[in-house]
Amino acid sequence: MASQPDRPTLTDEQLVKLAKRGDTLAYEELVARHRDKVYARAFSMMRNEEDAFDLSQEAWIKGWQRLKQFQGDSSFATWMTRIVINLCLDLMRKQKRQRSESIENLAEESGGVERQMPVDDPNPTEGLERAELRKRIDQAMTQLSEAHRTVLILHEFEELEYKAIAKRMKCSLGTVMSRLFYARRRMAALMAGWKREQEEE
Amino acid sequence: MNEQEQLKLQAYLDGELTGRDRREVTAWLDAREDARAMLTNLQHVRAALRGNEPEHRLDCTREFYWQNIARGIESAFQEPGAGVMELVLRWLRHHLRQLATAGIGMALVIFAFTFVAGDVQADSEWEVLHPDTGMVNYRDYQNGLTVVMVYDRSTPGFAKGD
Repeated sequence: MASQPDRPTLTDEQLVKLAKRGDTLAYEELVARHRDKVYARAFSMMRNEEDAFDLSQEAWIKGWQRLKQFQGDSSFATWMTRIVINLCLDLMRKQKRQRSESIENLAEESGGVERQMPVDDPNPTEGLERAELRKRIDQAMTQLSEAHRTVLILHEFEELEYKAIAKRMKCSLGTVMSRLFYARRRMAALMAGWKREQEEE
Repeated sequence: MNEQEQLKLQAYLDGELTGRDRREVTAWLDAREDARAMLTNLQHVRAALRGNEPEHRLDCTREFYWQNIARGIESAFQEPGAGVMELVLRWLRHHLRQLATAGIGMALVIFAFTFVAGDVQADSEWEVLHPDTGMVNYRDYQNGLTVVMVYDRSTPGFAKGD
């Protein structure tokens, strides 16, 4: 009789192989390993714990259904992250259809004030400790619109190229570039503001 | 810098420019202070973001989180990739009643057309195919119509047809 594999000791690749053959325990091990990453991506996009929780679980169910399509071109965690990103984008589109765009969002689309601002602090993050910086980045992300936050996440955290972002967000290359530029300038402005506050204290 | 120049500078930073555009931005950077300041600012923001992605952790046990996923996997599919077949079967199950109703309706229309709305054509015939099982064939040569009917032999009206 073949002995049961000790799943926690196996690599992701080995677990994926087992899961493709229908081994749910192997898949459960993969879920346990990468659930925080998948959830974090959903949360960073949706900024809502409930949505992030539901979407991350939905992503894992979808992942199981599509497992045979996973060829190992990227890591399993990256593949799963892309699934949850697509689910988040679908939900955002659905929600967007249900509400009218606010005036603030329209102003952001056209560039807002940050685009025209001169660069008065070349390095707005200088002097901030890593933990503090992470916290502030997280806070600043909440102050961006969904569209700007998404483009920033896809470019800076997922490291996708402009073309791939445009495809995922179903918008033009120009819109991606414009949103990314605005999002970066807004982040710079927010971080510079905090740095000033810290220096004054 | 105008909007086009800003976006081009950003594309330069992200490695999205090639050839002439890249050379053009390089020339700006050599000659223009505002371009250099903007590039430095964008570089710092990008570096700060790339190395410092905010962390968010699930606040529940492994078992609790898995429960829903396991239920979802179980109810939707039995094995990975079995999705299409499952969907076809679900569609058929869901629409079986409508399909059956449509079939019966169609048969009734043909029946009414043949016996109620019009007279039985002169160039038509009835043929008892299987007296034991109660199958009757009706042919209408003029309209090119053939109807096969199965009846209950215990029905009194059909008894003579034997």
